[in-house]
Amino acid sequence: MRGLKRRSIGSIVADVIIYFLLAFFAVITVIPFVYVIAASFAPEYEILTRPLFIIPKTFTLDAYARIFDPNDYGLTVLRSLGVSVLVTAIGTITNLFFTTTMAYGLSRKSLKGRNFILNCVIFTMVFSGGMIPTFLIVKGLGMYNTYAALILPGAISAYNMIIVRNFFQELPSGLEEAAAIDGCTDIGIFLKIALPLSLPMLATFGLFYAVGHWNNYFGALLYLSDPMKYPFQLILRNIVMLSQETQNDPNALQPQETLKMAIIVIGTVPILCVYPFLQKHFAAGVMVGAIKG
Amino acid sequence: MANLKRIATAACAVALLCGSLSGCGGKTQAIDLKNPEITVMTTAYNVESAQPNSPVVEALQNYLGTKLNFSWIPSSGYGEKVTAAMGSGEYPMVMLITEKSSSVIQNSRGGTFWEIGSKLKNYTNLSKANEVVLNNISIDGKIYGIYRARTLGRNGMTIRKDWLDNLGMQEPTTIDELYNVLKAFKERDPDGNGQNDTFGMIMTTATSTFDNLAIWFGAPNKWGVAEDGTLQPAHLTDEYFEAVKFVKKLYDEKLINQDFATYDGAKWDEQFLSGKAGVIIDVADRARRIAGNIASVNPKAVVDVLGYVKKDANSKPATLPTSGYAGYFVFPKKALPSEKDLEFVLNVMDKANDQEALNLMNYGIKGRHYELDNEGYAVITSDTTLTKEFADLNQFATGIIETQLKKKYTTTVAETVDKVYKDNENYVVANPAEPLVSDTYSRKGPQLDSIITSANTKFIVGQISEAEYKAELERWKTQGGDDYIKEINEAYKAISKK
Amino acid sequence: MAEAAKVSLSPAQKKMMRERNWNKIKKDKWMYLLLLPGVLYFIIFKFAPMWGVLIAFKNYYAGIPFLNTPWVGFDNFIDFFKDSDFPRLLKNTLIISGMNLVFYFPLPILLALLMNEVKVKFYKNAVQTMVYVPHFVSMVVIASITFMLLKTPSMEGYTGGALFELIKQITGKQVNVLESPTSFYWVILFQAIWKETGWGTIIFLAALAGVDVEQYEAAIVDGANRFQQMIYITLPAIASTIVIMLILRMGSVLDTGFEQILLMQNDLNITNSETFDTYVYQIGRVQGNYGFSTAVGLFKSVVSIICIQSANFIARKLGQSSLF
Repeated sequence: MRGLKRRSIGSIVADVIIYFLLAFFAVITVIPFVYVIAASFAPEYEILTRPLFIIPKTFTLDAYARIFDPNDYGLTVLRSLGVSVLVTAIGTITNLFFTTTMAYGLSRKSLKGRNFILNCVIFTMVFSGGMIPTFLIVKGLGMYNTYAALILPGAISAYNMIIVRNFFQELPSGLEEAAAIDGCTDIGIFLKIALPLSLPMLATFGLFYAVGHWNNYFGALLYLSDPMKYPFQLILRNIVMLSQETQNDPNALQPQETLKMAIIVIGTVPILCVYPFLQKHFAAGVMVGAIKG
Repeated sequence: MANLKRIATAACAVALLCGSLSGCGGKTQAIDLKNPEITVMTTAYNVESAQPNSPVVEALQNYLGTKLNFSWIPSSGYGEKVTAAMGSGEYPMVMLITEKSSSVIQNSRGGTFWEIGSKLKNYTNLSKANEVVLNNISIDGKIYGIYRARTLGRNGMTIRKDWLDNLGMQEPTTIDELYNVLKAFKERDPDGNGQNDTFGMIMTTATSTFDNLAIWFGAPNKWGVAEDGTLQPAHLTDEYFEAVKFVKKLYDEKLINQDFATYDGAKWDEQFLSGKAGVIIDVADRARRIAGNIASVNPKAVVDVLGYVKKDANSKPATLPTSGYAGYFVFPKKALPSEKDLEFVLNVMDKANDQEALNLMNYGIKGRHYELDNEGYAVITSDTTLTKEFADLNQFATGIIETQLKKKYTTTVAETVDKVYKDNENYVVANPAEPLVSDTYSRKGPQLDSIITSANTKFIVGQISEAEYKAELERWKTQGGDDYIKEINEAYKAISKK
Repeated sequence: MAEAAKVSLSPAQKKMMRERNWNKIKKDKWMYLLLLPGVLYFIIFKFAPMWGVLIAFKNYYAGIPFLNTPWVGFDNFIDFFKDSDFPRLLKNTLIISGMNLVFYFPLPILLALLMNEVKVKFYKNAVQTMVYVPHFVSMVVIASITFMLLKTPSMEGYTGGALFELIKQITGKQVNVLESPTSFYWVILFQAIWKETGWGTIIFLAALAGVDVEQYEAAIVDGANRFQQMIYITLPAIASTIVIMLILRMGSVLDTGFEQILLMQNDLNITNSETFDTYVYQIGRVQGNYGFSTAVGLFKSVVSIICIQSANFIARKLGQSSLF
């Protein structure tokens, strides 16, 4: 806390401005979600007649009661949430395995063939065969209607992998050399030094991948045919997008706005809870501390 | 960059290999008539659709004499699922098609689906299919499926009856009377609160209000037959432009909301519910929904619904029809290789139109999900748990034959809505080009349509003059409209000859 | 390899070279093992389906066997370039994507730097958690809130959206943001900023985790003020991440997405609210014309790869970190 004593007036002014700016931005960005939460507790007519509001005039738990009533939506909602958690957890671990191994392999500048592989990866970032050919591969591998189809076809995001590789390259090379002299193989160095030093990076990309899995409805729509296997996002989307569809079909149900909002809240809160757990890895100096410790 | 070339070569090699591999596949597989099972892919609207072990599904299977294996696909992504099914050849035996996209048209022409037009007459129920709707689902004059019937006369006008009563006015029957009502709603304080805080009609970015008005003005429905017997697009007719000018007048006199060009269609009911405006022209069932919601805002409000207004007292009524179907079931040859398979499935689809099957799909099992009252109406007795047992089964019902069993109306509006449906059907203006396809439209359709809708809106809000509006119509022609007209007319001739 | 080709080598030298190469590969054998899962993944799931790009040269519709559909050569591309809308689509795409690059791209960096200055842990965590929430709110909701905020009064005397009224108070003018084609670009930009800035900081915060705190202490002893610390210590620490992100970003110069734009599109701003992506969406996904939409996609891909390679080249020439 040496820094505190030496603070100049300029620094304090800067702090005030920074704190204020951040608070301002934080409040603005959070408004849409506050509205969604408020609307999920409001009765239907209030959403239909009131513009943007932060606190509902009439407070009701009807929407949540329906969603969690086991006789109504409850079982489906809980089952699909379970599926989502499972797919997200296994999927993220798979992603991190594939991404870090490849990124570490590519981080050695002297590796022969490295640029060729990297070019190939970048090539796939911009060129893609499209939906149908990929579907045929997934089907051909016998993954249709299995959770593997939600996990393996997206096991590596080229974009993430390249940034992870960049992180690995920035690691102090002295440590690796020391470990190599100690008789560690490259895999040993990867496991014992590179990965532990990259916790902030693992947290970041773990989060990116987890959010990707959590929000993925398209893969599930395409590759799953058994409704019992549907993850939550597919159910969420079906409810949220429904009002547009029902325009075409008078026999279809009109979901209530408040129900939509409640479903969005339920679909968002679990993944929001992941972040605070990872937050401690994002403080300056964490990594350096790890090296020294 | 040299690397890039190598990658491209490698990619091409792998690509060609896989491309040649994926060309084959597809096994012959017929329905085992001793233990039949039919796979069905259709839309799901409910959070949980009927499970295979539900008693309703079992009862339906018993009645139809086959096992049913449903693939419930969330409606919001149904189109993609169909594309994937077609792209991979992973077909169910009975597949719902929700949109006649270019892919569907090409596949129909290419023989992916059974052509069933000539077979329908062999079946008791299917032979009673509506000719207009069959024509609408046809491609090059051929029928590839069984449609899910929906009312043709779905459109209508929702109106505040108590406001009319307050002003001593009748429900409008002509365009002029409609104009007067809207004017009175704006200027004569229909809610009697002493304030000038109401207006006539809410319009949104959705085009349905205008589409209905154009029909009421006598314009054709998308395409009309001109004097020389050729087809002509509606927006090139005088009647259509009259309708545009009418809306402009409403806009200029502030009888409709001034922000309609950006007004979100999802918020359509908002100003009606809060008592700001008294007319919405859209689907008639909107009245039912509004009536349900308005009670909690203003218990005194009375909502009514009308099917149409006439151009003037002497002209014939005209109403804008829907296509009359909500998708149609096709029968892919890959899943049903032999004629025998097809016959079996058609027989099931025919039986599914028997009253007993329809009742199962719409109401569940008598005694378990509903009872009959002494007037013969169905009274729903099931709670949400039981209702789940037949959730979404109505998405398999084609309804070629109307369900005789009805629910008793709980509100007068609901009853009126059904009357409006029926009445409207007598005056529908059919679109002669509905079954016709144009290659130009398949590639340029969205842009062509947007030229017209944006010209309408710009003219109405006064951003462009009448001369500029006409210039936009010319631009539509040069951008592909002329080709579109030509192709549609060629297709029309080809069908008319048959 | 390039030098080896220039100088003619004796067979013995060549053999030596080969041996040396082989030894290097052997030495790195564990690294290749690490690469293996990733390489297999790319071959199976990325390169094997690559034949799909050939659809661009065909008149292809899903369901018609690939080999049975007719080859049309470059017709799809020619149709696309000749389309009278092409210049307009290109213009809109470049403006929307360019504004995103110029105005949005630096913001997460700025925000991360600001958050890095906050030493009160609770405050920092609270701000972080709040700013990244909008990332999870679906675009449909964001669009409907935008309408509520910017909506003009339906009639004279009614109140408009909160932001509309605010602008009216400040400028004294009724600014109709939703109707104007020019402001369409800005609406799209602000929505992107609103939704993604907070989320975008995460990666930079992770990069900042590598900064040695002692560097700051040394700088304070040297009399560096807060701003100087930021410029000379914090920024260089994340510079390589920024450069890599920028290079990768160049690969999406023609991407605008379609969902957000279609949601905000209306009859009055249509001249500025159609891009390659909305065009492809309507023709490919809605109409099912895959040959044509794949051709547009392939065109975009070629532009992307040129942009990435050029950006990478420039970064390397400037002595910055680069992709390879």
